[in-house]
Order: sequence, then C-alpha cells, then structure tokens
Amino acid sequence: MTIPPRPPEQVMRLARMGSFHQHRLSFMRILLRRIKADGWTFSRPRFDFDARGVGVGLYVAQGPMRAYTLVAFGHDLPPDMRSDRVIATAWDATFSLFDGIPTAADVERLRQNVPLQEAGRVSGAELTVSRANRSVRLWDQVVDRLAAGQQPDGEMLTDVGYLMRTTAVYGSGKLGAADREVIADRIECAPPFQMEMLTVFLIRAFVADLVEHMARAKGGDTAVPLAADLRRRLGIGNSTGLGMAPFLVTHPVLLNNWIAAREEALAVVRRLPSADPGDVAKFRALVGRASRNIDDWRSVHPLQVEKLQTLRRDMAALQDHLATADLGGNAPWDSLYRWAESALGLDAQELLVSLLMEPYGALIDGFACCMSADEGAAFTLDGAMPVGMLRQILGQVYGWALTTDWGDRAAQARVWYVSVEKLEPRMGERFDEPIAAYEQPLSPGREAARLHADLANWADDAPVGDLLLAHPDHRHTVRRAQIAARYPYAEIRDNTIAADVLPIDMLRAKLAFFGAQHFDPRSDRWVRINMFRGAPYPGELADADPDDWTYPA
Amino acid sequence: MTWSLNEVTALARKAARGAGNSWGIAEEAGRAVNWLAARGVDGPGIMARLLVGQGGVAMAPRIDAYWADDGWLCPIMTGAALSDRAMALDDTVRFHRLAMPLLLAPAVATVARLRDVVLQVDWRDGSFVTDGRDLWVNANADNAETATMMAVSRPTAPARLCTARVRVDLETAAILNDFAVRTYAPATDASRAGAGAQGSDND
Repeated sequence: MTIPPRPPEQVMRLARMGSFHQHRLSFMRILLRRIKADGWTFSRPRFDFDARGVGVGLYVAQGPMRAYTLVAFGHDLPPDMRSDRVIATAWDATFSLFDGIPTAADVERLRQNVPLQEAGRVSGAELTVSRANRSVRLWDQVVDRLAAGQQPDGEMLTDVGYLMRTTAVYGSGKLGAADREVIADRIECAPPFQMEMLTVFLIRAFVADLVEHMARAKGGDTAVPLAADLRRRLGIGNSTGLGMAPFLVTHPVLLNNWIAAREEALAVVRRLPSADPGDVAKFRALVGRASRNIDDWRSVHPLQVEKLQTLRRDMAALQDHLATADLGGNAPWDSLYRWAESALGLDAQELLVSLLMEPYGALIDGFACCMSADEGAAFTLDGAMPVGMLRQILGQVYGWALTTDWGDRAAQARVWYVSVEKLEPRMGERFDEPIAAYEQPLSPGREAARLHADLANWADDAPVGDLLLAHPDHRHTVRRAQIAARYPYAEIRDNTIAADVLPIDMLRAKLAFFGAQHFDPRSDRWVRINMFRGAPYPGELADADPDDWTYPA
Repeated sequence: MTWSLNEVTALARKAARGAGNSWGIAEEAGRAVNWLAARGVDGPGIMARLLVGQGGVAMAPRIDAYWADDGWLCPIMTGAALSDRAMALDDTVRFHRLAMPLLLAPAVATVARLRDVVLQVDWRDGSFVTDGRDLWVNANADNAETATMMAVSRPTAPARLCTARVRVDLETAAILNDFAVRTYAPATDASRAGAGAQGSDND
C-alpha cells in the first residue's frame, strides 16, 4: 500500500506545528539510545561546593571514542538578579561542555569566563555554554525537607517538575565555542543538537547532586538523599523566548529534514498491512500513560488551558474509540490515523502521531541519521532557472501568501527585530513602534508575494540571474524559494508577521523535536518546558530502557 | 583569543546588512568571509576594508565586454552575479576596477565547482587560483584596476591550509561591529516589556 507522507500544506501550518509532541526521533531520545547502545560510562571526578552551592563540579561522559565533560559552576544569586531573559547578567549556575577531559588550567580558564556567559569567551575546546536558574520555591522546600530528614511534597514536585531551568544552551560556535562543522562527522554528534542535549542530561545529574549536597550541609547527619522515585520525576526546566523562533525560518533545510523524518516515520507505520498483537498491546498501554501524562501537565495560560481541555477530551475519545476499534484488521494504523483526522483536534492528532511511532523503533529509529543538514550545501542559487519556473514555485509553496491582502494592516502588524540591548530578539508592532527599519528577514510569505509582484513584467524564459541583477533585494527570497522547491517541508505555510501570530507555536515545534514536554506558555512569545523528566539518570541508563520514560509508568 | 567560523560569518552578514545591502547580498558576504577565513585568509579584515571603502550600498555590475559599474565593482555583488551565470560565462571574464579581488574568490570557487575547472583571477598586483575547494593566493592587494578570470591547470604547490579558528584583529572587529550595530533597534520601554514572560522568574 502506498501512503505518501502528509503534504506540507497540511503539516507546516503554525497551529499544527504548535501542537507537536516529543517522539522517538526527538533529539533527547536519540541521545539516550546512543548512550545505552554504546555503553557510555559516567563519573564525577570533582564536586567542590560550599553550603550555599558555590563551587565547581566536573561530570564526565565517556563514550567508546571520546569523553565529554560538563564543567558546572554554582553561584550565590540574589533574588533581584534572577531573570530568565537574555538580558540577565547572573545566574544560579553556569555550565560549559568540554570536548574531552579538562585540565586544571582549562577549568580555571572556564571559571573566568563561563559565569559571565555572553560577556565571556570560550574556546574551540568547548562545545556548549549554558546557564540555569533555580525554581526558588521548590529548591528551598527540597533542601529544607531533605535537611530535616524528610522527603519533599510529591504534589509540589510534580507541579513544578524541575529544580533548575536552563535559560539558554548555546552551541554551534557561539561565544567562541567549536563550530558544529568541527564535530558533525562524529557518529555521536551526527544527529542534531546531541551535545546540547548531553549538556542538559548532565546538568540534571548535577542539580540532583547539588540539592542533596546543600541539604547535607544544612542538616548534617539528619539529612537524607532524595527518594529515587521523586528524583526520577525531576527534569530540567527550560525557559525560552523569541530567540528560538527565528531558527526554524533561518534553517530551512534542517527544518525540512526534521519534519520529513517524522512524516516518513508516520507513513511507514500507516503503511503496515497488519499489526502484531504485542505492538498493539504496547500502543494501547502507551495511550493510557500518555493520558496520565496530560494530567500532570500544568499551565495557567488561557491558550494552553484551553488546549489541554481539548486534548484531555480528545484522548478520552481516542480511548473510547480504541475500546471497540479492530486493530487486528487490514492497515489498522492508517485506519486509526484517518479516524483521528476526522474526529480529534490538532493536539491529539499530533500526539497520536508520536504514539504510533513508539512500537516501531526497529523501523524508524534509523531515520535519526537523516535529520541533520548542511545548510551551506543548499546556499548556491541556480541563476539559470527560468523566471517561469520561479513563478510556478512561488505559486506552489507560497500560494497562501499570494492571495493574502498585504495592504491589510493586520497581515503585517508585527516586526521581528533584534534589540541593541544584549541583542535580544524581539517582536514589535509595525504601526506603533519605530522598528520597521530594523526588520529581520523572517516573513518569507510577504517577501514571496513582493517577489511575485515584481516578476509580472519578466518573460518566463528570462534567467533568474538577470532578475537578480535588477533586483538584488530579492536574492534572499529567491534562494528560499529554490530551497523550498527541493525540500518540501522547508517553509512554514503561515504568516509569521500577522497580528494574530503566536510565536509560542514556533517555539513548541522546535522544542518538541528536542524532546521537551509539558509546554507551559508564560505569554504568547515565551514558554517554559521540561526536559528529561522521568528519564533515567546517567548512571542508571545501563540498566534501564532508554525509550520508556517519556510517559509516566 | 580566536573566533569560530560561525561567529565571523554572522558578524560579516550583519555588517554587510548594516552597511545597507539587501539580506540576500549580506548572506553572500557572510558566506564569502567564512570561505576565506576557513582557508586562513583574513576575510573579516578584507570585508571591513571593503565596507569602509564603499561607504554605502553596493551596486550590481553591468555585464559587458568588461564587467564594470560607475565606481569600484563590489566583489560580493560581482561574485553573486558570477555564480548566478556560472554555466553561461565566457571563457575569459574581464573586470574593470574590482575592489578587494580576494573577496571574489568564494564565488569563483562556486563557478569552478559547477564547471569542474580550475580558475585563476589575475590582476596587476596579484592573483589567486581555486579548484572549487582549495585556494592558492599569490598576492594580496586591495584593489585591481583590471582583473581577468580564466581557466588554468591545477597548481602543483600546496594549497592554503584549512582551519576552523579565526583571528580577528581588534580594529576589524570594531569596524564590523559598528556596521552590525546598525541592524539593531534602539531599546524602548514597550519592546523591553514585551519580550519576557508575564510574571516573575522568582518562582
């Protein structure tokens, strides 16, 4: 049976992308499978912290070919300096992932730079730079309880979900670190963001160690360690703003490869002529666990509250449907998926996509190798392309934009720009603020419409290169259009500058590919998430299933 | 202290944009600086001198017996036009008054790769050769009154060594930053308020 992957016009809409969930091909999942399969070992050669949590620690991840070391610095941060925004200048903890095992001189060099974050510099020996802030209420409670020989309140722990949240994890050459290209051909670094995910995975271990250390410092012999089940429930939070949203627009080939891998995985499952009873049982169990996971998903943001209500209702409908559905018949997964499209909202449809992938790791985990991209290889324009073909591409990829009335102020109400204040990416109001002159090229639809209009007087057989001599301002858009013609999922098929655009949709799409869960918007352009919640800790992976942790048992 | 290639690429792109170029041309500038820096050539420094010398938006070349415009040809604009015409170029391409000819090398490399040839660009004070991947530089001069591009045989000398780390001198960084800053909006209270979370981060 030939079931094609879902078309980009369906998948690449912001409402759907803003409903993505983590799945087998999420980067955290890929990392833990790699660590497990290759038998990585972990050690903590240094852990020097005082009673306030100030000091330095080293966490070494030893793979078959190379070691990576998280260098962690703890600080004593006054509450009035605690901000998750990029304009912050101090944090509760700061980190760098060192490529190998650092010498004492390396650690000293990092101690002088990493706590400064953007104001410091690292070297080609470092792969990431990161920082984290405590959840003050949970941190203090856990320290106090453990110090008194008691376990923290499980309900509160579930409510918050993390003791620290990162507010940035920089890689790919940022702040002087090694370029992605330097490590891209290492097998453990080939899928996207593996070193960033390893950084967070090790931060999680550090945070659990630090909170127990501070409880011991406070309670002495009375103090107890965190109970294993509570420890496991703690992930690492992350607080993300607009800085992440443009990434999806500025990495079109990479975006395509992520989406294409997931869509191909879904198509592979839908094409299965029948389902093995064991796989059906596994799927049914996961649907129940995923529903319980939604019950643990906290948010007070009105948009998310509404989404969660719909998702809960839809998951109940899915369970009702499964009670009578025949999954032993022909192409059962395709039938189920098509039923979901007709009966469920976008959030539940996309959760179903994630769940359908779960029993079929043997068929789809290999797609992880196709998810990275060399954007540079797609950079060169085809100047010989006839204008007629470009016109056709614009109609196919940006059809929605060609019929949009761009004279309507609501269609281009927003401007993406970068503030001179610590280069914070922001989004403003075009008609209320003096920012249009600083607009970033993050509205491909409107640019495509402008290009299309300027093509009106050009003959179909004229080469695009001639057009670009007359209109160098269209070069960026012609490049995008040519990329989108070759990579079907490269472009978001929605208006990224409309009055009603929700940047959190772009954030969620990206974060779901990281493997994040429990999306908790704090505005229309800011979201908190949880990473590695429920996952085994580094030392536990050898005896644990690297995939069976994303839904509560 | 060294820079990553990603950093110099981003800085060159922003600087070219800040100088008034379109985003597409700014991307070409970032890419050109990256390509040169990866081969140990001071791409950032040459780009800084180009932007200072141009003092504004670069012009596209007129394509005739000589490629030219009214002043000095911008190597980024000229390079873009060159790679756009990679398969339709004459065997010899002549440039009249080409600024910073080394900045043309990345585009010449693209042409060499697409045509599967080794290309040389010659001017009075120097020349460079590229096969699309490797680069041989025989001299370095800021401007060329006339320059010629044609196919040659592959040099026997070793090509320039590749590197992932870049040295950027302070003056170059300051010049490029001054241009890049022009792409950043001055902060306003409204924009400052809108970018974060609603509510406190002390929770």
